[in-house]
Amino acid sequence: MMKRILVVDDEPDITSSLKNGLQQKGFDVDTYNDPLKALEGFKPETYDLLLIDIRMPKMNGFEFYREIKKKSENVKICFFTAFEVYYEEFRKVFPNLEVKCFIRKPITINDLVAHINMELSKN
Amino acid sequence: MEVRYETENMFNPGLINKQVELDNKIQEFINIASHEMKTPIQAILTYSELLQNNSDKSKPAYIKAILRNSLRLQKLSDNLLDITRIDSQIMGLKKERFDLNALISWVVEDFRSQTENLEYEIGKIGIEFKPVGQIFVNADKCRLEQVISNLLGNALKFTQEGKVSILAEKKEDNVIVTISDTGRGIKPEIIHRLFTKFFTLSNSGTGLGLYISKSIIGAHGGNMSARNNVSGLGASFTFEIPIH
Repeated sequence: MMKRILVVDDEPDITSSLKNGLQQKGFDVDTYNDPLKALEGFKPETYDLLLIDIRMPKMNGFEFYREIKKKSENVKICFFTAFEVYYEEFRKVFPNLEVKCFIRKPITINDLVAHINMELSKN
Repeated sequence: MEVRYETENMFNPGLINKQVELDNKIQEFINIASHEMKTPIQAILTYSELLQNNSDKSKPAYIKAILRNSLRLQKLSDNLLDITRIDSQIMGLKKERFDLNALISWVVEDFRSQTENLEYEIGKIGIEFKPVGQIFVNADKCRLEQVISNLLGNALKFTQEGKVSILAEKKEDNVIVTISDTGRGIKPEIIHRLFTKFFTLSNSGTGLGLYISKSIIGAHGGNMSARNNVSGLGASFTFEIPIH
């Protein structure tokens, strides 16, 4: 069955290119450029994995993650970021949580798919 | 000399603190600059991969996106070079005598002739500039063009409806240029941060433009300021430089 991915990134060129790239690799992809709208439209059990940018206006990726967790405790999330300091920042916001999947931009579609598949294969 | 420097640091906590502060600022600069580079690189990388798939019918759109993101990288690298020149105090000016009104008219026409822009909708907002005669200045023409383009571009970016007006006037030995818009204005709490490095309210901006513009005007012996319009609608950016 086709895996469903939600991509949230404020850069339209990123969401648009990833949507096309991941679709070509057999994923079903939805995208949002506005994290608040993504949150509003989010329905639990819809997606197999969320690919979330960290630095976004209105709501950053960590805040988005916090809100999503309230709606769906077990949802799988990978942060997709061009920032170098994400690990320390994540620990500051979520000191009690194990670090999730972090994927660094820029990355090729093949490598991105490898990361996604690895995360999807985890229990 | 190095040994002496180390010794001075050991006995001068103030110097050490200053060094730490400087190191933090450099680290922050590298982080943000690196982030700003990686975002367009990601787009270029993915669109290029998509282009390798010959069956995809969206090729023209992908090529356009690659060009758009390459231009963004070009602008960023120019800005970073300017920042280095400013911070190292090696920004040289190539002064010449020219008509400032003619330069502004040229910049305005250039904006009007653009058919597409990343950051705002062309054609939706009117640009008003009614030059009166000529105002000759002795300044760096390319750098002033950069400043006017930056201010005009910002004004258009933050104006949803109405117009952007430019006024250039001679006052004694100075020339004052004001660019006013009918946008949302500037929140009072951020006015003092507008001209600092990396401050941006835009999703697509690097936060370097105003810092560079103010530095260029400063290098001309002038000054730049921003204020909300008395009418309550929009903001105005003004710079003043000596004519000679």
